[in-house]
Parts: sequence; C-alpha cells; structure tokens
Amino acid sequence: MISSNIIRALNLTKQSTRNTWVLKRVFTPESTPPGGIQKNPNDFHDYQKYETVEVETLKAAGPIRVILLEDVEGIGHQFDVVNIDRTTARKDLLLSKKAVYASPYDLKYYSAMKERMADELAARVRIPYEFKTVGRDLQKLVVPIKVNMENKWEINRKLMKSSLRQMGVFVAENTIHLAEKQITGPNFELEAKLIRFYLVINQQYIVPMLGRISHISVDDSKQTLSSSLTTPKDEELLRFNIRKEYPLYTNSQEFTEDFPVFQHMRENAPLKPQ
Amino acid sequence: MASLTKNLTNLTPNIRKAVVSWDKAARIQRNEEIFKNPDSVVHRLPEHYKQRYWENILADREPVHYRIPTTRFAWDSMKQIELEVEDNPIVGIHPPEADQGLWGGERIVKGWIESAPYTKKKVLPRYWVPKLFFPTLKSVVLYSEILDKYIKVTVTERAMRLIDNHFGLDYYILQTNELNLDSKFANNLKREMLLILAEQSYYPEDEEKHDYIKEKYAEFVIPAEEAEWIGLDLNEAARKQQDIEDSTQPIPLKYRLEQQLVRRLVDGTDEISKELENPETPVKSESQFGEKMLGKYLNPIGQKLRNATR
Repeated sequence: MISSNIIRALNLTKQSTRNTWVLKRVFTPESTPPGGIQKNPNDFHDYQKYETVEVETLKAAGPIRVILLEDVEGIGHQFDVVNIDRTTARKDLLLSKKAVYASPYDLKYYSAMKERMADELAARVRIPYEFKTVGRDLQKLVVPIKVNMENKWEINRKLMKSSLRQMGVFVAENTIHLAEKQITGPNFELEAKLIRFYLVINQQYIVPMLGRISHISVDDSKQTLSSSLTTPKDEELLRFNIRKEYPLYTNSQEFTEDFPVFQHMRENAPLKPQ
Repeated sequence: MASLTKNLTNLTPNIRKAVVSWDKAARIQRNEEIFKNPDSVVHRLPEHYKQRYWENILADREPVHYRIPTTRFAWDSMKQIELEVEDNPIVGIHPPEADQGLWGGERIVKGWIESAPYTKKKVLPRYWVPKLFFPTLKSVVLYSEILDKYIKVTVTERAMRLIDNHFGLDYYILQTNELNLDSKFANNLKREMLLILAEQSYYPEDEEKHDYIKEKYAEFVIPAEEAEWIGLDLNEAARKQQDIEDSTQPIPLKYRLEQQLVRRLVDGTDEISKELENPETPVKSESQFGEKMLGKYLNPIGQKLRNATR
C-alpha cells in the first residue's frame, strides 16, 4: 500500500515537471464534404470530449551531444564531442560557455580549430580525472599514526601502511615515502604532531599526505586525549613547519620506489591547486 | 450520432485527405473585412510583409496536442459503416501569458473528460466533467549567441526540447515560423536577431567571434528594411505603416507646381512664356471684311461704313 502510494507520488512529481498533453477526441468529427469548409469542432459539445493518448514529454529525452570548449573535469577534454545528461548541459555547460550544441556547423568549425591547435593540445599536461579524485580524497585525510606509550617504536613504511589501512586506504608499502630523518619514541613531545609523507599512485602522481602521531596504551588509565581528525588550518601547519602542497603529476612513470620523492617535492611541489 | 473513435480500425495506408483545417480557415477569414476595404492601410503595407503574412496564414500548424490520423478510411465495427477520417486539429486557447514566454506551441486545451472512466456503465450514465489541460511551465535562463545575452524566460519542457533539437535558441527562433513560435516574445526576439544580423552589429570588439556568427547564421540574413517588419502581427504592421505615413509631412501643391514651372522654364519647354516672347505669333490686323465681295465700286461706301463702326 505504502509502496504504491510512493510510486503514485513519484509519478505525480514527474508529471508536474514535464508534460505535453496529447489528446484524442472520444467522438470522431464528420468528414468535410468536397468543396466545403471544415467545421469548427468546438462548436459541438461532443467533439470537445477528450481522452489522453499520452503525456508526451513524460518520457526522458535522453542525453544530448555537445562539443566541449575547454577541459571539463569528469566529462572530457577540449573539443571532445560528448553525449551528456540534458540537465547538466542546459544548466551548466551551455550557459557557462564550457560547451556548445553539436550542430553541423559547429562540428565542422571546431574540428578545424582542433586541427589547427593540434600541437598545442598535444603539449598540454592533462591529469587523468581518476588521479585527481583519488588525490583529492586522500588529501582530505589526516592519518592518525597510533604508536605505543611504553614500547619503543619508529615510524616506518610498515607502520604507515597499517595506519592507512585503519583509515580504509589500502596501499603497497613501496608507494609510501617518508622523510629521511627518523622519528622514534615513545616521546610525548611528539604527541599530536603533524608529519608529512607522500603516496605515489601508479608511479605518476605524488600525493602529499598528513599524519598525526598519537600515543596509545592498552591501559585505559593512561589513554591520552585522542586528537582530532579534521583537516588542519594553515596556522597549525606553519607551527609544525609544514608547507601546504598539492599533488604532482608526470606523464611518464618515473616515480619508482627508489625515486627521491622528498627532495623532488621540496623543489617542484605545486603550491596551488592544479 | 458520430462514431466513437475507439471503435475505428484503419482501412487504408497512410494517405491523408487534403483538407483545409478549421483553424486555417479561421485564420484566413479572420481579417476578411479589413482586406475587403480598398481604402484600408493593409493594402499599402510593404510587399515583402504581405507575402510573409500570407505564407504564415497558409502554413500548417505543428500538431502539438493531437496526433494526425494515420489513415484515410476507417471501419466502425460497432455501426458497421466505413467512414472517412481527416486531420481535425485540437487547438487550445492562447492566453496572454503565452505571449511572454516560449511555450513551444503548447496551449491551454479546454474540454471534457469522462468521470470515473474505468467504472462499467451498462446501467449508470456517463458523466462528463469539464477539464482544462494546462501546460507545465518553468522559468529558465537561456543564452542567445547572436544577441550575446542571457534571457530569463518562462518555458515548457517541449520548448526546451525543441531548442535542443534545433541546436540552440538562435537556431530555434530563426528556423521556426511565427505560427509555430506562437508567442509575441519569440517574434520580437526573431526581429531583434534579424536586425542585428542585417546590421552586423554583433561582437564589435571580438573579430573572431564576429566572423563566426557571420558565417554560422549567413542563411538567415535579410535586408534591415525587411527585418524590421518580421514578427509583427497585422495590427502592429498596419499601425507601423500608418505611423510612417503620418510622420512624413505632405508637401503643399503650390510648392510642387512652382518647382515644375521653374524646371520647365530652365528647360525652355514652357509654352505660355514662349507665346509671349515669340515674334512669329500672328499680328493683330485690321478687319478686311467685305473688301473682295464688294470691290472697287463699293469701296467708298464700305469706307464710310467702316468709319461709322470704328
């Protein structure tokens, strides 16, 4: 009963968004005699009795084809002809001039322009959308690095891997790059300290990450206050002498296990989002 | 009693009867009286306007609220008769609000629907309840490439789909005739676009964009004198014509005649002034009456007579 009500409500909402009534007469009007003028059917009551044939625009019209005029994240590159959701195209791409309708003239015009700009387009560095989204998700994290209060420890790849795994990030050990300077403990001066490390995706994309040291113990009475997992502000980063960095991309797969990621990022890390 | 549509089955393939539909007949007869008056301003309208006006009147309206029949003859299985079916449009009411938006030809259809149509009515009477079939309207922002303007306008989903199918607002407005645009707003937009196309006043600073528009919409360019008459209904066009006539002041006749005279005098074709100055005109002479008839015998008497009458 409830489900049918919901369905009806859904149908109603659909109908309220789009409709073009297509009707038919219940009674067929008489045909016009040769040489005569067709009578106005509205003069006769019966010919204004209607049945609904269909509500034409109730059916979705499907995607439309547009030509992109610039690289649009998650949709395509400049001059790509893409099929895209009608609402997105109407409300976003076409109005903001990121795309135009794929009319015959525009297809010809922009394909010619694409050929003219071929060298420029080939030289352009384009970060794959998958890398961008993964990088963005990873950068949101502040990984809590849980270390022991009593036993000796040092921060190494294994520890980082398990810390990342606790946050739901599953990576191979050889993709994690740590600072050369060893961090060891237990040392309560390091409690809640932020540290920088890097993750490499597909040997192409270096993502700067943040970790926060937090001492834990099995003894409940010794538990410290757990530090917050929120993204730190710029002042906090400055306090720990950490620079705000954004991911770095390269076309070739050069960021291997032995690559000096820390030194490379010190010099080349982008300081603005790409 | 007319046949019920549900009992009809098609008999012939899709060859339709050629018939002037009632709405077209109404359009033709609409301004009959005005056209019959020989003094009416409509006869002085520009030729290109008159031609477009009649093309619009005689055009077929796009079927929006009905489907065109797919047969010429149908069989009524209930009444056991064959009958001829023809295109009989369902055209709704055009409210003033439709003139301010883009409804894509949609209108408000007034009619009756059966109340409780799924109840068996062997005994019960059929009740017909009045119903207005309203279009669903929404307010959207559209972009016009030629005008380089964003326009907030009330549209229907049908109009939006038409715009998509025509590859943009500009193409939709320019390619669709005024009858199917069915809105004064759209007609005004059309006139504005055509005027800008004629004057080439789009994108004056951006040369690349200017050339792009010029080439893209080249097929729609018409002279500006014609463009300013596009999309006017007969009333507006007559008013415009009247305004043009009233705004030109009539020249008094005396000035025209004066100019003509001066022109004739300069050319030397004026006959009156010629007569006055010409030495070969007949000289006024004394009367020779009776000279020959009476001869020398009667000359003295004649002389006396002449002297007496002088």
